[in-house]
Amino acid sequence: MAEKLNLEDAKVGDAIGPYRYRVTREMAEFAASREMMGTPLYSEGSIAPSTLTDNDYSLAFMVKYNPGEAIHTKADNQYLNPPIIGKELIVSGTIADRFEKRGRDFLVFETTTRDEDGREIVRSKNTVLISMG
Amino acid sequence: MTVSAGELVPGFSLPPLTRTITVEQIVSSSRGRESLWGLPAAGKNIHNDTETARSIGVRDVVAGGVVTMGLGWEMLLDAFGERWLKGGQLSCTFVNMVCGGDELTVKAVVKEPGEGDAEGRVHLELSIENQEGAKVIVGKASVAAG
Repeated sequence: MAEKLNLEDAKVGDAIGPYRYRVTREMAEFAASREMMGTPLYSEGSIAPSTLTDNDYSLAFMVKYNPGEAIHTKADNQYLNPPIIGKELIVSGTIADRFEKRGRDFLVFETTTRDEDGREIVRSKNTVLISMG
Repeated sequence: MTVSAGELVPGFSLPPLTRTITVEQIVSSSRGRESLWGLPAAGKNIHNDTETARSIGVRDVVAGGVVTMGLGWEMLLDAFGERWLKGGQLSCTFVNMVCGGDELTVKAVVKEPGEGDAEGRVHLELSIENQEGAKVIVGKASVAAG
């Protein structure tokens, strides 16, 4: 298994992922309780909150890179279909940009999460600060 | 409470949503993510350890951005139901830290479509403020018009 790269080595255009995980009821309840939702939709139904996927970009990134210290500064999510409990999700994407602003170094990830049937779950663009300069 | 299409005119405010975020929720969010996704356990950091958080000058553990963003998502789900689940778009910038014990209020107002905004959708400006009125998230959302 190849040694993982560090955050500082990230290059625009690098592919990230695929990262695979199976949606469990525990994950659905975790996401619902994290956001303090009390709705029976998630304790009795078969779908999970789409917010379950809000950290998918970092899971895909960690396939190839060490996580390091990063601060999440921006999230842009298009929720296309809710995740279904029991289905496997596959996250993949690219490092879409790397830029410096006021002496600070930022990375931008674009990812798509699909389920095992090819259904798109979420398209995301996330920006993280990786160095305070 | 699903909002009717007729209400969705520019200037209309969705009913605000207020929640207090606890230290336990922030720590369990950080730890739960590790255990459920099989990630390596993180050492002490600002999300799971009060002393580490205080070392950077904040009152208590700091919520990850997505924890706070989830409040906006819930408000939009309440307002738009299935339309939100299948096609909702939420864009958030995290502008201030959220600590355990903070009371957060989500607000969203329907706005006129601007340049680059897709047609056939309802566009909203969204913010989340803490108990002192400081914005912690600013953003926008959109959903199919119906």
